[in-house]
Amino acid sequence: MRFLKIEKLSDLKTVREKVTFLAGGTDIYPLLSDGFLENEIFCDISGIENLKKISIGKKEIKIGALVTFSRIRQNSVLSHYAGALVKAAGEVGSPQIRNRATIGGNVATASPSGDSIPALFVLKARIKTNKRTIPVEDFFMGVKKTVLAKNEIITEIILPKNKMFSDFVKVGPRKALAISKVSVALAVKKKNNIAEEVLIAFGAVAPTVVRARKAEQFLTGKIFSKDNISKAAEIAKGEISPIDDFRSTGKYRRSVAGVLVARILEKAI
Amino acid sequence: MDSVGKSFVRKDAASKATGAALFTADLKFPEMLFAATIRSPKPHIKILGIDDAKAREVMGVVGIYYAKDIPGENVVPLVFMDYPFLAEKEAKFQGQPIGLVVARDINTARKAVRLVKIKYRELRTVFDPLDAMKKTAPKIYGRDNIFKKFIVKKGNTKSAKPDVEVEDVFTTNYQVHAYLETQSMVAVPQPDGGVNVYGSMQCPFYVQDAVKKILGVPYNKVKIVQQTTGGAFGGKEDVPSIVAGHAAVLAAKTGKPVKLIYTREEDFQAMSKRHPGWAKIKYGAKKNGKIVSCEVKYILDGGAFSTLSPIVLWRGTVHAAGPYEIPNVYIETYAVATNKVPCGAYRGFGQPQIAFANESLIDILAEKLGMNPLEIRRINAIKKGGRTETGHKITGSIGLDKTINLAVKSAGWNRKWKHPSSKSGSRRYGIGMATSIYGVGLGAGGKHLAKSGSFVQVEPDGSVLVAVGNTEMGQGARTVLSQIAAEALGAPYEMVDLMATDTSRVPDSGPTVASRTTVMSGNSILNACKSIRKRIDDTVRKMLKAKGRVIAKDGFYHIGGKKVSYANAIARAWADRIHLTAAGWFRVEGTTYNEKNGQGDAYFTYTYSTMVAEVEVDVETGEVSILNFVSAHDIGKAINPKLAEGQIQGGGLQGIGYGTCENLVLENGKILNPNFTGYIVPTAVDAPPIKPIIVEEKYKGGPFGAKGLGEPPLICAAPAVANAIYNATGKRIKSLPIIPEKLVC
Repeated sequence: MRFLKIEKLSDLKTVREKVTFLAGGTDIYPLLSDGFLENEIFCDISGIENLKKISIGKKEIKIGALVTFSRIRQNSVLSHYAGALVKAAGEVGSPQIRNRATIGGNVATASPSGDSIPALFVLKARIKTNKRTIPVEDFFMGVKKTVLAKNEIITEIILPKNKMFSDFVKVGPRKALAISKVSVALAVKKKNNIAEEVLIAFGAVAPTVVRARKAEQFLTGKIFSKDNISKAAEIAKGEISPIDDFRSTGKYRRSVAGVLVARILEKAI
Repeated sequence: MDSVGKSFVRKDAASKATGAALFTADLKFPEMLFAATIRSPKPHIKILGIDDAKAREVMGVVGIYYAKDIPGENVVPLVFMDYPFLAEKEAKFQGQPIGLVVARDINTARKAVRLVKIKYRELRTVFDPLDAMKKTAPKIYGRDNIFKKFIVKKGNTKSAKPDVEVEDVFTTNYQVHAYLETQSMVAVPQPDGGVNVYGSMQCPFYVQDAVKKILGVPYNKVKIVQQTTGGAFGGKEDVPSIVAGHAAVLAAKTGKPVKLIYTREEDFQAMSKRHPGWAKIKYGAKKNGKIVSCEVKYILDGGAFSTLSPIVLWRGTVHAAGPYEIPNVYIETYAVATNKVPCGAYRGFGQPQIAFANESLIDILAEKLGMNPLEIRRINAIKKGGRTETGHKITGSIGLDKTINLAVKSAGWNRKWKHPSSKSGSRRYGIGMATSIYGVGLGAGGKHLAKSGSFVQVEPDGSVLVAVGNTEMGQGARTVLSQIAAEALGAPYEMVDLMATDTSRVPDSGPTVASRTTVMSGNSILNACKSIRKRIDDTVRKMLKAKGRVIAKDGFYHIGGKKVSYANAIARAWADRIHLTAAGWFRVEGTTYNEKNGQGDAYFTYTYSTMVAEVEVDVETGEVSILNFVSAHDIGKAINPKLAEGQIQGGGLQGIGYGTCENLVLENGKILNPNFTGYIVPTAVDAPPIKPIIVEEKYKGGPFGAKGLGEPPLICAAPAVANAIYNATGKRIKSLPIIPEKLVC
């Protein structure tokens, strides 16, 4: 195991070996004791100040990859334009973890249960790296797999500055410090209680975060009525086929996914 | 009283809060080496050979040792001698120790372990204890895989003639101790061939037995010193013997101090757990609610080696009918071998599993009789003059009724209890209760260990050094026993302290288990203090030129209207060269048990408990929130009420975790969630307000009337929650933990 450190993004050019980037370290640390990362070379990027900014532009919001969940959670402008992300940020781990864990790290780890990811899906985020900008939906390839190339590094998360209602809910095995069994993010644009645009994304029910496109389609153009909501929830849970693992069962995840969709949609009424 | 019954701050509070306390991980010795353990990769193998060439090449590796290198006997000394320190030809569970690597640093030792290749042939496995009892099962232990069987026969269940019968099967999963500090030991070789071992443990004399055994040296060459211990809960009763044995062998082989600390994952994989339980239980009652018969078949999944299973089973057996007076009882119990991690002691020791069955079934019975769960318990709760299932007549110190009354009053039971059929909506309120009886100490099943030594030395300045054979492991023994010594000597509490438990200072005092420390070490200290007080009192009489009884109060010794301060009396006694040091001893007599019919006076006294849980269940997601939890215990006398309350709250939360979220998942003998990411214990956010209620029905054999409290706060917490969940939802979940998946699907 070896450690490098870079202080500026431009120093990345000097790194020849294939490295694992170390930001908050909250996903990496638990793996160290298992010996999984014995031959790994780490590149500590936690000192790159450029990547710690939240900038609110006219059309876009840019969140630096090293912004911690604690900061996202406390940002009042973000709560205006990205409610789902702010809510999800508050559900990540514990206060101690939120103080260290970064949004870039959560995305790069690419866990299907990463809490920020469903929120980024419904907020139509783009992932900017040192090489390119990728729509969030094209970013994930599977469990802990992304399109990132060797030593490609996430620099920013870009959100369109839309005034949509968005929210996030999750069910975990306890009230805090819990990996999601199922999570749902929602973004809705309404006019006179009619849905103009609906985005629903599930976490922890498939190898990557997935959208409930049929349910979204069903709701689009319809009134936000209890009846339509429960129909949409029913459709949404039919769109996923979660698996059994030691954390939960597929049956439970699917059932609760429907409940969460209904509940989160009801909040949008 | 000046010291007893007062809520003094813990003696160890400041050192623990500031980080000054020394845990085993903090210890450093010159030239110290670090060890790691080579473990069985599969749940049942024949070992064909070991290739460790690559591991030996790693820079910094000092040596690799196996069973053949053990100088003494390769068996962990406990009830039955079936568990080798290191597997020789066969390993019976995944994670069983096979060899040890010792290196200059811990990472090197662990890396070398990963490079060792064990060549093996897989053998047939059995993972379910009910399967293991079948004739066709592969044999893990003896001819039938049964470590131990017990029977209790009281009256005749066949002639009970109940009006109503209820019967069901209840199961419980493992529970992991989740102590903050994993198993940790340092062995330091001594020039004369002996060894000193410093470590995290609750039973230093078990560790001493183990180290003596594995090294083959006399007891007086083995000194065990307990370090500040970061939680135990039974998980540091017997298994530290293995860790210490390993460290001691490596110290003997290398001639250097050796530190062995487990990772969380290997601690999960190889250390003891609460036994999974299976219980088929039947209650028969008259229409008026009086239970007239109880039949139980209770099976514990012991894992690959017997360890403490026989005595865990015994405690479960003699409590299996519940805290009720039932004239006709038949109980049959088994501890069974499987190819899984050996189970052992965990707070409650075989009782929580069966208490879940008892306390669920009595609610089912109440429902069938159209009674309130409170009413049926009041009718059947054991009362003064009543007899336990082992026929033990309870003549004094029995506060079960009081705990029931105070707990339901505090929770507002009568106002809040409504039948489940009246509940609706997605979030439903429920209230449930459970009760327990708990035999204090080791009882007749562990009579040979029912002894306790102590050593008390009053220094010239009046400060007092106390040594006992029981340990402080977070429960507050250091503080409580200091209070007892202070009260007995008439010394100010601040001047008394316990030293770290050290086997060279006091004789074998049995284990620190079974809620026995306050009574056993407390009585032993009283015994020592009595002889010292006799000498102090003589000095006081001389100083006051008075005769008669000396009363110690407010830091003075009084005779009639005359008084002398504690400090002056001690100074004078020392000036007169009076011997103010004494060794104390206490042993328990009178417990009995007949193995043929399970009858006898199983324990010297009992603690009684009632818990009430209030919950809100989200019936769509199955999530359970505990809104309020009341826990009432008759403990005889609270030596330190604040610490007693702490025990009640801690045990309550541990029991709530056992009941709702702590779910170890095994697949073919392999633990799938061997850490705190996957194994879910309640956090502070999950903890409900826990209202402790202390009932003091004094036990005349206990120090100042005290009984035991360590284990009871956990025992009936899970069934109280389960009954509340039933009350909220109308769903009776018959297996623990009640995770949301069981409620929704």
